[in-house]
Amino acid sequence: MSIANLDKVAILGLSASVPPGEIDNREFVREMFGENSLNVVDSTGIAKRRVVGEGVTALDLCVDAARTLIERLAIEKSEIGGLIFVTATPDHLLPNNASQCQEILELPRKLAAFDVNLACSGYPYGLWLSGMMAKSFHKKVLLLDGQSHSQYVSPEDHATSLLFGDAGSATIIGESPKSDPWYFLFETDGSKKGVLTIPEGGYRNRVSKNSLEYQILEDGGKRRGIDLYMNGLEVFAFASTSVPKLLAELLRETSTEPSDLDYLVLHQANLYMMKRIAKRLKIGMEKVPVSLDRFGNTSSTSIPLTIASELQNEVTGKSIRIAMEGFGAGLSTGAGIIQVGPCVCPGVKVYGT
Amino acid sequence: MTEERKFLEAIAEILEMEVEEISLGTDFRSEVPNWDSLKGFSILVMVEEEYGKKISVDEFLKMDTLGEILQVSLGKEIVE
Repeated sequence: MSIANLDKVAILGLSASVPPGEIDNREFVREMFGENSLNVVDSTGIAKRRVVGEGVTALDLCVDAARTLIERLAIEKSEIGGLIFVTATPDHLLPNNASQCQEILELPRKLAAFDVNLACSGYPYGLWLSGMMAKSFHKKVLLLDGQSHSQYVSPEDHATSLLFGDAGSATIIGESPKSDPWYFLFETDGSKKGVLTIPEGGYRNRVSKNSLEYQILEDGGKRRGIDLYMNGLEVFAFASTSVPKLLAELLRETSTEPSDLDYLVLHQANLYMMKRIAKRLKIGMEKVPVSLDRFGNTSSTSIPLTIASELQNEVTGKSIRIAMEGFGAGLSTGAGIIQVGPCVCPGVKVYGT
Repeated sequence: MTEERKFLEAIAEILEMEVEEISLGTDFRSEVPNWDSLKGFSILVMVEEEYGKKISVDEFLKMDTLGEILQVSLGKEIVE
């Protein structure tokens, strides 16, 4: 069985930070693609989303969330032994975000710090790695998960331009002798690497003069080589078949009935997609919190952002059992069943306020 | 429940409509509000799971009414 099992760890606190700049998607779509395209806003469920301004990155949003959380948890920084930064939108190709955050957050130098390059599937991976690290060091681990995909999305690409929002989050994981076990299951299909990709700007297809030129697309849209590309139908096919199957397997193998779960926190990709996944798992939408109407698809950050925005009172006041599933570029899927709360959850902060 | 009713209920759920609003004669591309390829793909997945019938995208593009989808799902030739 390929299920990962972690016991005696807990989320001690979780917070999120979003940028102040808000886009009304109806206005955006009307301006970019005309009145006839407005139904796309309804089917995605993304009425509004927030994007970073010039000079702000996912790192800044995560640092903001981490500062709030560390202060509210009132822990000593010396208690933190590890920092994991999940992002596909790092400040630099080198060095990683995690090392920079050691300095910015004034964390101890005896710190294991690294980035995990994952997009929408990243948060379950981050929790799993953080839990293992906390047990190994017998120290707390700071998990930062932030993405600012809006910065490399073409505003004239019909498939992607209205989907992505930016956000950062911070989660602190520590040992907890009485906690219920956590379970994770992951799936990877590299043969589908091309369906969700930023083709140029890395080391394989290095940035060139041509990468900055907008290419005209079949549907009249435009995109550069350094912008995010998504084959929407392929991604939907993956989301409506493999994604629910993986979580169904995790539920079955851990003898978890949908009624044992308080919530299913899905990656906030697209509302219609989320409804299809929940339907296939026979879980009612009343158990599926939705935040994408205000924040858009924030990639891996959408899971912690949804917990902070929709379940803040729940996780602050009591212990709840949640299943979660992130899925996207790779193609990569991460599913988890964890117990959360009562823990510190300051909710969602607007960056710079 | 008749085969027709069972099929239309599954379709209505995918289209986010009431079953009373659709029939086998419904031309789904022109009569379904907010019709898009995601809904079309969801129908193909449903047919494969419920009827064990794999419909290719090319085949699907030639169909116009819900009745044609049901006929193919049941392994019958499309009667125009």
